[in-house]
Amino acid sequence: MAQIGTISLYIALALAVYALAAAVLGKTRRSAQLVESARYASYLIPVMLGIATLALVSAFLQRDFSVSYVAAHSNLAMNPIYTWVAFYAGNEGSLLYVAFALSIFVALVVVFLPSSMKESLPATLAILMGIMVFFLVVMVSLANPFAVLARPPADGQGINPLLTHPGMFFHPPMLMAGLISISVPFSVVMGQMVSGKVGDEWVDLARAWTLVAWAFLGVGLLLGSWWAYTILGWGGYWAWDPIENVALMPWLVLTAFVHSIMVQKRRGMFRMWNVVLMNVAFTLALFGIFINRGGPVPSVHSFASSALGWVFLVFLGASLVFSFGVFLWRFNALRGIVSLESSLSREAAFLLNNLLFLGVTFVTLWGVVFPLVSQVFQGVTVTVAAPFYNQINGPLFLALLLLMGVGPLLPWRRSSWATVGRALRAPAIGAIVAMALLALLGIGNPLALVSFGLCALVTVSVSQEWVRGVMARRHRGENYLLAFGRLIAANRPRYGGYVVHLAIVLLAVGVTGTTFFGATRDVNLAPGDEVSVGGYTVCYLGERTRDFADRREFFNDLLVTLPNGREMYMTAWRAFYPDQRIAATHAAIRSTPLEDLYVVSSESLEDGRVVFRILVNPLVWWMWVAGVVFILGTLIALWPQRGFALAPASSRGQAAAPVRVDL
Amino acid sequence: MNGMGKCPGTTSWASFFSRRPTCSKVGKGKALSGILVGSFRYGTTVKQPLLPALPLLLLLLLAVLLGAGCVTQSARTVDDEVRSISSSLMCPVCPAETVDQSQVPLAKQMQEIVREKVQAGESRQEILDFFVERYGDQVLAAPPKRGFNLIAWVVPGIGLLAGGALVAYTVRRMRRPQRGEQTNPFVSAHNGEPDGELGPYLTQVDEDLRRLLGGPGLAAEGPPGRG
Repeated sequence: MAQIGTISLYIALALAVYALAAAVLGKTRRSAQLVESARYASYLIPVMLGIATLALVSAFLQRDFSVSYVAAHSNLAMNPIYTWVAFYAGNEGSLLYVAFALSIFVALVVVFLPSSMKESLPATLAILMGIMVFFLVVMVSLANPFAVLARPPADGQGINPLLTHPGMFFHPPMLMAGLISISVPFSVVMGQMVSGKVGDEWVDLARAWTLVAWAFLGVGLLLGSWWAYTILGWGGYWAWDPIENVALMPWLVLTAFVHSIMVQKRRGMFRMWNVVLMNVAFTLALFGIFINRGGPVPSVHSFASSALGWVFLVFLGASLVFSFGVFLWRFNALRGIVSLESSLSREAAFLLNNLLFLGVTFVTLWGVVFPLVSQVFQGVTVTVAAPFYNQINGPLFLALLLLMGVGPLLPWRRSSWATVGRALRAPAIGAIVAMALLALLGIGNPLALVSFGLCALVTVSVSQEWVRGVMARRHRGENYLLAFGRLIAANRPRYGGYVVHLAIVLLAVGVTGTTFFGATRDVNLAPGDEVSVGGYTVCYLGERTRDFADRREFFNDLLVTLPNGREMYMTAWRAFYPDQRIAATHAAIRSTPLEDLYVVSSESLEDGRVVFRILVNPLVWWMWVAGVVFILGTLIALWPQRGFALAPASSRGQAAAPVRVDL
Repeated sequence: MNGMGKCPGTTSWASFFSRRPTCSKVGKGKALSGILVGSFRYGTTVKQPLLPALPLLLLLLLAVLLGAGCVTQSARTVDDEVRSISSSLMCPVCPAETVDQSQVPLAKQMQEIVREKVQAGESRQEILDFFVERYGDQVLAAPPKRGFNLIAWVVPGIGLLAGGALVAYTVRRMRRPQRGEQTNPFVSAHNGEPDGELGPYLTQVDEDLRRLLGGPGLAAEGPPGRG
């Protein structure tokens, strides 16, 4: 099996090198056949990497501990279902996964390349193959997943128990696929630049692939939060850990990009800026992989660190020089000629949006690198964790919420304060009423009030846009449902975007609820003891244990009295792995839209008492709902619209209906 | 340790929500009533002198609320204070976890020390200083705002200001008609004129002329025949 895997890796590398060379030569010698053969070579790479993937999977299933990667990340006691997780638990396997995912993305982008982009195909393909070659070279030379041990052990070292969780089936692969898929829009844009196509032909394709990468990253981040919430046992979902941050940063920049690309699509503006955003997003994606693969920053995600990170840093530097080199080369040709008509317009709002998103990104990046700066200049690695980010990024997020409520109401090109004031009336009233109601109901925290008020502002402004559009369509004699459906279908980017905005509102509601209104108790309970937290009474009944080959599992049974007087049984589970000296926990969670009761047990004391942490997390449920809504909105925005081209934006044109009446 | 009273902050929250759904629903209801009172009459120009001032009023209200909230710091329970302090302290032996998050014995002990000190009436700063003395600045979850570490806090502000200045500069430059643009007299010919009755029509004429002349920036805006 190991030989098959290694051989297919080498064949894939040969194919990638060939495709790279053929694409470059095909371009410089104007040979269509060479370009054609490069294309076919790129189709074969996913086949070879698919074989390599299967080889590694079967080595895991056969418990072939002669393969050192299998020995390091599984053991006989491991449930075969976790093979999928063990596959990318370490460097070598995750590199194979990333390369396989990239090869599939490459084949897809080449197959579905629109004919208008044919001229830039060689350049785009060459860039993608350059990335591909890098990953394959690293794999065959430094981190071969099929490296064989001279003396195979009788049993493997086993998988990190924290990874044996359903969230792990999707969270890491989603994030890794998301990070690597940024290569595709990046290569499309760079390919166009290199080919001297500095117009707007690439906008639709780059936007579509950016949305794909953006959705992968977004969902991956949320799944990671869910995993942290249910298994890490501290009751939170986001800790501003360096690894979380480096996955968040490309997502933030891509969010800026999917907004500002719409300005280029409709107004032909911000070309230069969009190229810069794409370069930054790709660089940050590589930075993410660098930090993840053994970067110099300590993190709770230290599952797969190694010196490999420095190889990635060199590649990052090379790509930075390349991408901004190309940008400077085409600088003059990229200059936009359409002028901004007013600073009170949708374009200007998008500009502000980009400023805020890049601001959050900058703060986050600064927080990640400051410990290193401090190490260099004062010899002390200071810590930059949640309090820093909450204090600086928190207000920026609030500003983004405000902009999310106001921006969509601004028409393209220009507007007057009177028009904007009129459009803002209902949302502003909604926000004030919501805040007043909440204040009357006893919510005193000003930040929470502002946050909820802004949530109301966005919700009303999005609903108003919808109602407005449906009403306009009603005049054509469509019923409400049909009008609603056709409204969305008529301008999917826009209404998909609104759905995503609602998802962000749900997320903000969840974050605000848990940040400002959560209650925590850390208690040691003996069987029969009970404790009250936030209206719940938790009574600890007793402990059951079960022994396995590699672990001992503890079941702490609880009788919970809910605020409405009903009683229910819950069990907090945890396991201790003596070999690895790791404890894994599964909190007992009772989740309702209102609030979660969250009970986690961390250790059994000698006197028979058990250490519990009990939390009441209000509104956290809405965060997971937000994930579903987010996917839905992205799908709407991404769904191709046949024979559809957005009408050029005109001022006031959007006020009545998104579909322009034919003249 | 047992039978301890309810945490006051949460009780009000729970009872509040048993009566009322989420804030977003509240907002939605207001949207509909906003429609009913007629904020959507497009085409008609209703005299509403107060309207442009509404966002300003909103901001004013927010400022008042914020001020009021800062003055009346709600009473915090010992548990809240312990949690707040221990989430500002890093666990010295775990990678990137705060004392509040971490499950290892050392973190639990540190949390116990924090609790004792809070109960003894020590201030937040005194407790943090106590740990800094023993473990150094690294034990703090955020760099202290003094000395070299002040840079950590200042740079984001400088970055944001620089970004804001850049955007302001770009907006100014983009608003001035550029050299390339002057070759096409039809683009934004009425730029800078008041947004009068003729505004939309002028815009439309602009669009059509640009389309006929194959003006700049139209490549991405769809086939010219459609429209």
